Amino acid sequence: MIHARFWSTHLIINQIAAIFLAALFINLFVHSPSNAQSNALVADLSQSDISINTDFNGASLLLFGSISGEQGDDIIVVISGPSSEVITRQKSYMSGIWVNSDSVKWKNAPSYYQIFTTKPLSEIASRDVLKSLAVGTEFLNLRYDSTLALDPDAYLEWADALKRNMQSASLWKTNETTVQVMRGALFRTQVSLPANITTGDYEARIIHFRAGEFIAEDRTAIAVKKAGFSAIIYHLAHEYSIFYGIFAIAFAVFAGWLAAAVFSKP
Amino acid sequence: MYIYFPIAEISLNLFIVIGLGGFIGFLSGLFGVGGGFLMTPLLIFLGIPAPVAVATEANQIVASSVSGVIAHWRRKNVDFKMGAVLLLGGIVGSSLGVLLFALLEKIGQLDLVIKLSYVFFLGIIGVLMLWESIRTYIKSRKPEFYRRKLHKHNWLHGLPFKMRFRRSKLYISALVPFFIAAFVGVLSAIMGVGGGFIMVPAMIYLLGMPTSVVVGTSLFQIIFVTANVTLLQSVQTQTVDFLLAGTLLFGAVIGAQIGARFGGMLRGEQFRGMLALIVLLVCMRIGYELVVTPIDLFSTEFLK
Repeated sequence: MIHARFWSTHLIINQIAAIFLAALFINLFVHSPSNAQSNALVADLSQSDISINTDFNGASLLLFGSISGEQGDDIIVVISGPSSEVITRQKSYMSGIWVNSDSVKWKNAPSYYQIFTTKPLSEIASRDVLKSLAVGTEFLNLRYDSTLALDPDAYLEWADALKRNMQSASLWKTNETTVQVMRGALFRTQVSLPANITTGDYEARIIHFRAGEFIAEDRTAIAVKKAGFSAIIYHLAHEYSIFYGIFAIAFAVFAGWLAAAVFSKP
Repeated sequence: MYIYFPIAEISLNLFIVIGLGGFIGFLSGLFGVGGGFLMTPLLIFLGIPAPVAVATEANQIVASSVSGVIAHWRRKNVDFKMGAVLLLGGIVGSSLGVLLFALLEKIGQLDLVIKLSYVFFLGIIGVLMLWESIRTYIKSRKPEFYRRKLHKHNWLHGLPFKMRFRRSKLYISALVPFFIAAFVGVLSAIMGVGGGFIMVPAMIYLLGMPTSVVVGTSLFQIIFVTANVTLLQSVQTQTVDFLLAGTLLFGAVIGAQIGARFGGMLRGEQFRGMLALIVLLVCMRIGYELVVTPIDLFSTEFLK
């Protein structure tokens, strides 16, 4: 166990070192005098495929890259998961107990939305700039479906509730001051995907700012899918559900019989 | 060590899951109950979505009932004819229950109905059991003997479709066990339980079956009812987590054996008194959730 952990840390350090060297080369190339007009931004991930197997308990990956920047430049990374239909319900007090009453169904809520920044968001760029770049859950443009007629205030209250619930599930989050920039050239940040993430295609947007102004943007993708035994079970349960059900019953009957046979006294 | 359950889509500590299975298995071995009424709420407390907890627990109960029925079968304590009538009713009821389950989930009241059913039925059963065991305890101090009638005759005996159940020493209308089983089947599908804790008292007090064949016969019909729920939920909602059921089963099988050994050391009324207290505790814990002001009045869930 100790051995394995030693090796994995070792490998990660090696990996990071290699990545930084590569990034440095890219940067030197971009920075060369012949390339005067430079706002190049290159980003990559330590892992672009996440497999959810039976030992999955969340994943942590390194997002890194280079900018042709200056000291004091800022980076915002926005990672968003596949959009899903989610429903937010409100409880109300009825004859002594709390009962779900009103609800709003969100058509296109991102199943994951995390922001990573070098500084607090408000210090990086103005609200208008962030809005024009659609950075932040308040600019998500959520479509909804509800029996309620939502005026702007009510809409805000419901959108806030959605945000709060998603935050407490660790799915939406703003991680300020988690991006490190070195010598205005290299940046890196640690991205954590919790165990309850949805499978699908994730998009990472990396945006470069200088003194509140947008400089450059790069995008990269992360594919999250079930793998191995976990994928087989999921696939069987959804595609061959009758056989899956029969198999589950047969397995239970067999296990019950086995238990009785093993533990019965002669 | 964490393990990711692919249908529940949650990662849980393997030892906690096996330990939970073992603990509930121990109690079910000790008291001779199925344990579904404890397991399903605990799975929900662990963060497993209610539909997955209910459907997966049905799958697990299939196994524990099979192993229970084999033991009773060896002692010839199963009335198969009565069991057949009960399982017909149970299959009709549990099929309706699965449909009702889907409907409640759609309108967002599933959690509420699950919790209310738990509070209501555990409350009634718990109080009755506690009262019974206290009464027995007091009576045992000043013994009195009297011969009881096999069963009382009431309006239920006037219904049509009379059938003779030899092992149960009954000649009653098949409609009575059929409808009792159908009613318990509905609850079984919604609450994720075998329903033995309702079925057994109903068989003794409503049908007047001899206590010796009650548990075996109830287990026999529970196999089919929970198998039916497993199959229907697999097809309709894909919420049966085979890996979770298997892991719980592993702990439960071992726990049940240890529990059964300990069971011999306790006296009947102490036994029922303790079980009654556990039942009431679970009832109050669930009831508390309904009554206490939630930290956040809003909750969000993913729609599949």
